[in-house]
Amino acid sequence: MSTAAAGHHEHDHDDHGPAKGWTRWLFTTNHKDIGTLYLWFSLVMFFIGGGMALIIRAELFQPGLQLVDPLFFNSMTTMHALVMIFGVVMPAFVGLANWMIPMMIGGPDMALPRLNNWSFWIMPFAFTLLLSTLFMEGGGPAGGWTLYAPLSLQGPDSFAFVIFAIHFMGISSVMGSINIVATIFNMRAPGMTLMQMPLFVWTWLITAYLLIAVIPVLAGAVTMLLTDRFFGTSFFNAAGGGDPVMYQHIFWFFGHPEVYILILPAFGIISSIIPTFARKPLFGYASMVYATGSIAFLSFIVWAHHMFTVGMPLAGEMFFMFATMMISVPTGVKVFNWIATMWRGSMTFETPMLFAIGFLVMFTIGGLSGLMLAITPADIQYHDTYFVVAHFHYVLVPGAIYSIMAATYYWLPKWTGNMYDEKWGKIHFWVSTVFLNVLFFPMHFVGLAGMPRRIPDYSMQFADWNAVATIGAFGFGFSQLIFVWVVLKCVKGGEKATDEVWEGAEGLEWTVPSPAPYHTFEKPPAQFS
Amino acid sequence: MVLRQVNSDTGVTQIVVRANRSMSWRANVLLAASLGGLSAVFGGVIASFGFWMVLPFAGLEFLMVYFCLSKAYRRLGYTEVISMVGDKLLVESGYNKPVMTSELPSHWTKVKFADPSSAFEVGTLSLQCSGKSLEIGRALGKEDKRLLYTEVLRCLHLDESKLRLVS
Repeated sequence: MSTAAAGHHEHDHDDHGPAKGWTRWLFTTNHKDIGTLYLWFSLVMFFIGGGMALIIRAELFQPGLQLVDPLFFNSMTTMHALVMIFGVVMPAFVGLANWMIPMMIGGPDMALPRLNNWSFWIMPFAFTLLLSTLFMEGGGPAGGWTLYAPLSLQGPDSFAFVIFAIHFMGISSVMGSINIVATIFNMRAPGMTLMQMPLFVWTWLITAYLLIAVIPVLAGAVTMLLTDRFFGTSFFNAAGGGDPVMYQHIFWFFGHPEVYILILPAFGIISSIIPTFARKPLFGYASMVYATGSIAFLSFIVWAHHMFTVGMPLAGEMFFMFATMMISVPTGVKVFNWIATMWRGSMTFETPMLFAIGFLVMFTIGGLSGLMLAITPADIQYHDTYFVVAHFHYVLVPGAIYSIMAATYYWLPKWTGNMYDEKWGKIHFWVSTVFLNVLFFPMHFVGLAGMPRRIPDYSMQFADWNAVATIGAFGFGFSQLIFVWVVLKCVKGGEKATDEVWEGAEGLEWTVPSPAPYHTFEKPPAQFS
Repeated sequence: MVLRQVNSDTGVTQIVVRANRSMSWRANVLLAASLGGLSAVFGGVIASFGFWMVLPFAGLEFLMVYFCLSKAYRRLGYTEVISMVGDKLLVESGYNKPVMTSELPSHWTKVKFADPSSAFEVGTLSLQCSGKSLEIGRALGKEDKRLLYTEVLRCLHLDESKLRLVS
């Protein structure tokens, strides 16, 4: 026997079981462990970002300045957005991808497990860095999450920490995306073609493409802000020959695809849940895939609809207006396909389905107000008002956040092996939905009446609806404690879940035992062999 | 995946052990090129307006995409071939070609599988000979390791069946 071979094989085969104690979580390369870490991190950040939202709404309960000074208020609006986008929605989707994609494609793990570990553990550092700026001299960033120059360049020195935190978040996102792309393409079960993949896998594949395409743009933009602020360059400084409007173009060239990064995986989740509880196959699978691809393509050519008011040639306004409106076509295809899937289905309304239907109804409301904002002359009136705030919160809260909650209720029995408390799940849905609408719907009214966003004080005529919105905010915020309680109760125990969990569930993830073993599909699944 | 094949001409039995790989290297290169091309176009257009700092990030990202795809492809391509040639058990392993070869006298070789009861562990499968141990099927899960164990055992026993007692 060659000693080289023996030496090579005699070590390093202890990486198959979980380590004991905290090192399990620090050093883990298992996709399920990393998925769990992402999901808990996201939940913690949800309450931090939510706390910031409550500070904002508490200040806006009445006109005048009551609780916080205006600079801190602006820091809260900025941080709330950064935390919710990069710390809640994106990590939650990555967590779901980590848990579910290998099981859905019949792969044993992610393609690059160590990279997966790093991409998670960068996140706590990035957010510690970001949140620490609130305690630094001059406070945290207060110029909005878009970090528009020249306003952001006039902030305190803690700005450098914000830029580095954004870089870390970007690195984490890119590593996660590359891993997802490599996994989906290289580790599908033998015989599983691309058009046999579940919609959640498809939507994540396209999301990962978008992320890989646009993160360098964000990284370049914020680095130029950094050099403008600290190294005397003038990329965006008009006094030095720079162009501040170009920052807006570059930022939104990243920012608009980012909006779809926040919603495409949600489409995948809803496309998994509705067929299960309608007990019918998804209507128009291929058209759903092509619609997702079309939305991703269009997301690259609509960025300037965020900046109609900066002034641009009429042809430009027309182009961006019509291109934006075109997005409603593939989005409409999706909405109608979900409705067609439910049509004459044998429907039941368990908590995941309630959240999915809530998504469908309220995301469509957000989509319709988006169409209103796409109309250039109308947008010039709506721009920077609470109407815009209402629009994107309708898209992101009952859109992205509801889909994450739907996914959690849907897959929780598979993760834990226990059924969650259905009664409290439904109470969570109804209480959340009522308060969510109390919170965000009045923002349409005050926005159309002209109330500007990002201000700690406002005119008396907006007082009533702001008070209503604040009541909704506290109701919605505290109702999320029900969610935490239901999840913790399910993790701790409960009625044992079957392998299939849901009667109408289809897909490889439902063929493994509940809870899913630490290693799944070590042997490729038979039905695709 | 564990495949057992017998060459009908030479009579040599081979067991091929490798992970599942669902895309070719050429397709991986095209994938990396599509991602890199997209980033290059975006970065190039923005740089043409003087905002060149996007380009280095696009370049770094492309290198990372290429590195990760090649690493993933390579890892999935690890192959072990266990052949019964005469009274020898030949174990060859490597990524694209055999880089490590071990020869074991089949009569003195035992196959051992420490099959764990824990659902969290996959166990260790090894060939043992003269006090030394050679792990095989490292990339496999528990079920495939069991299969490989059975196949190797069958191979060793097949060899014994060919022996004829002469005195």
